[in-house]
Amino acid sequence: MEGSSIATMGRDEPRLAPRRRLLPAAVLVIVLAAALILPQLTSNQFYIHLANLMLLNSIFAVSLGLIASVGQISLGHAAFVAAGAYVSALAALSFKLPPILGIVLAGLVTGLAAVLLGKILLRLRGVYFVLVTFLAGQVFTLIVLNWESVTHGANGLLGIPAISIFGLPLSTRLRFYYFALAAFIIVVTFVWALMRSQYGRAFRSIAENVRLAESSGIDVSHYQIVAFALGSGIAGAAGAAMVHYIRFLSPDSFTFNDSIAYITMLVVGGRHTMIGGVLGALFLTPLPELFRGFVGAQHIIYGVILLSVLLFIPNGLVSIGRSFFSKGSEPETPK
Amino acid sequence: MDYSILLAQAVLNGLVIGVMYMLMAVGFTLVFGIMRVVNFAHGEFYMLGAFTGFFTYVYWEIPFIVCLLIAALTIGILGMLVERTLIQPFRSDEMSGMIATLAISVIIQNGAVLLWGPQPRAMPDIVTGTLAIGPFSFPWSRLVVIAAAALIFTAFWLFMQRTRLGRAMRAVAQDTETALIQGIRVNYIYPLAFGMSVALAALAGALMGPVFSVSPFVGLTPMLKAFVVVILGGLGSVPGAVVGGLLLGMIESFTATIFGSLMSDILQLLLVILILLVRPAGLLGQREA
Amino acid sequence: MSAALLEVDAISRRFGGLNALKDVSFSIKTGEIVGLIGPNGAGKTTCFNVVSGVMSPSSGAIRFEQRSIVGKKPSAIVSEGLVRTFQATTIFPDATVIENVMRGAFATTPVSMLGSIFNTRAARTALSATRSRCELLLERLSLLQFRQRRAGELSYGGQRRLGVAIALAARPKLLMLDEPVAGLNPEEAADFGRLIKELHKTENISVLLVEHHMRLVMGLCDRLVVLDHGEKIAEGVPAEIRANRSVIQAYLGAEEAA
Repeated sequence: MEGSSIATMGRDEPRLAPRRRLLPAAVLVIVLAAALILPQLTSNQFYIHLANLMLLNSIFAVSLGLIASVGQISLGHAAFVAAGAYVSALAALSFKLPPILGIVLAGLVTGLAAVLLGKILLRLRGVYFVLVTFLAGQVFTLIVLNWESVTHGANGLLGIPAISIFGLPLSTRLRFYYFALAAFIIVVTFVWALMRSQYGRAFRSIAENVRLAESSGIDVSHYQIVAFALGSGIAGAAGAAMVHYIRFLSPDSFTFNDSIAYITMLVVGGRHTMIGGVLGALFLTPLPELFRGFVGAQHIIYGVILLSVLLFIPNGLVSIGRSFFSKGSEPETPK
Repeated sequence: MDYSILLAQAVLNGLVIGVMYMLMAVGFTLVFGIMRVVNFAHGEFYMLGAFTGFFTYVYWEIPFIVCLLIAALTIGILGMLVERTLIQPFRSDEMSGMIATLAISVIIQNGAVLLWGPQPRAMPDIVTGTLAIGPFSFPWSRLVVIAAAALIFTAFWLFMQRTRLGRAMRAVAQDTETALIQGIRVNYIYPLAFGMSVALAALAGALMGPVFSVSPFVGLTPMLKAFVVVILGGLGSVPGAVVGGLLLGMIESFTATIFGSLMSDILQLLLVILILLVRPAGLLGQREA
Repeated sequence: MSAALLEVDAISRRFGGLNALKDVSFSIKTGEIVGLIGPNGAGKTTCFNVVSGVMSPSSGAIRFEQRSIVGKKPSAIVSEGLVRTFQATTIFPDATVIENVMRGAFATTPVSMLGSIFNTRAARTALSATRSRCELLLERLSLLQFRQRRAGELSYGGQRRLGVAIALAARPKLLMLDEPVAGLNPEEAADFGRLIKELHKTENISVLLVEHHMRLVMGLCDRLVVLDHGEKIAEGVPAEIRANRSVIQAYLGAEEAA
């Protein structure tokens, strides 16, 4: 595992000159404006639904990327999404907890669960960790299936309320879109700030060289738990948000296949950068629509894309864009 | 009286699934030991073996032992090709290699759904009748599975111990660099080991075809259990896989008899997490220095 | 007599049935350069790993500035001022050279983690002060011109120096170097020796050195500790060690066996 992935994330780049900072800012403003206005221009509910899924999947992939940034891959990510969804759905159905508070609660519960689980799991390095996250995800599914008095087992939960803000229910696709967009911006900004901070420095050190990180005074297990808890907490909260949008939840809603889908998004977009997860989600979420009518073909396409990216563009789509933009802007260094 | 029959049945069932887990785990752990690859597609090769056994036995009506050989050979060769083309490029990168096997697993499984449909197919028993010993009666169909698995494992064990190739594989597993210095050609060893590993999985699948049913999804559970076994027995350890496989089979059989199969699965997985709490490198595993 | 900086008191370490270290004791006083030598498989690396907290001793005590450090995480031991380098994995190959040193300075950067997320003025000031300190270190190790290079692109000798810079960034009181000149040519090795001597003076640090390179060790160290088969067989100034019969035997024996 040592020295493998996540390494190039957030290199110590020289400060950009003011003019060079202007361009990214302008692009950001334009993208944001487009994201705000475009949905108003279409009446096709399906496109808006797709946009909602893209935003939610982006959050899932970015939160997985946060866990991966310390050099670990979780195969149980969908279980945390599902756990958050169940927490908020059950709180709303049984205790009439407003969904918006349910989402916060879901984030806290899943984050805390990740801390406890992390204390056990993160003593395991590399493959053991991956295997056990996989098994833990399976345990969760089995428990949900088995605990029928609470979860209704395989029948699932029906009639989950929509999020409502100041009395305005986000029951239409368009209304939820703006909520999801806001959530997306908050998450992305948070993760960006985190990765830029001393936390990010610690995460990257651990991913790149565990032993040297520890002997540089970086408490490896502490930062691994922080990353695991934050990533899982964000996933749980986003899962809760999603369940108040889809408004139905069963053990099949988030499965191992979804865990693989999140990994695919992250790897295809570029697992070394935060924006990679976003790119992957934006690219892969609408893709199955092109292959409708072929049963099962969608998964095969995902698999083939994942393999091809691993083989031919190991740093993901993001690396194509980066090498395009950074041409000729390498700082000159004397030999 | 009643209890002893129940007990005998539980032991028999435990042995049947135990030997299956053993074959799965031995192959899985072999590939990890030699190549440091976690093969998430291992269960899909089990599934392919089950389908090969099913089609050759049901449609060609040839002796089952020939079906087994065909399954081992075709899936083994397929495994070698997969290793050469799709896994070898990730030799230096454990994580990417693992993600690649995830992708391979998704492709194989959904390819099987496209080709053969999702519905499970029942396979006729290879042998009928029961063996009666006193008050106990054991169906031959189960006993054959146990005997065949024991035979397959013995053959594998002899290969690893007695042949040059087997010794070379063990040398690579122990210390790749020293093996390289001694002139062992890793480029041959890796595909061979991978082919052998998935051939073992295919044999397990073909053997279990008549016991369970055959569908594109049958690979998941055996793979899950192989994970549990290698965690119990230590990744990379063949003896650990044998002991762990049989032990898990017994645990599963008994807890399922007492608590039902769903609860049994939960208990097994919790047991693994518990064991890892105490011994992070597995029950029989060596602590990494 | 000044108090010992590091006291290693009868440490043992067993692997299975094997005694990799047996009742090894030695100490290092402030300002000393001590060499830890011995034939291959003598237990030098195990000793290093035990002292730096990578593995715990099966028995025995280790005190740094009179406080026990047994059972502490390596990262916590670093914060006490005991910093080590590694033989092989000395750098973060994919990060820039300056980022490598900034990572080494992680524990000694006086910034609150939360503050660094919000990028507060205090955090920015602290980080830029650390950056200046790191650049100074790079300059001292003649790496400054490569500060924006990928560390993996440095020459072998450069990577070795960077490894030392990373360790120095953690402000060690005692710097433990694990075979720092292995793989360097004689000229580079001699340069490295001078560098260590210089840093010893300017940075005011004590040094514990594991090394095969006898000429370097003899010329550099105030005192030597010799291990063989996990046990300490001799201790003394270089001249004494050179004349020590059991040391000569240990080395000759090892050579005959090889």
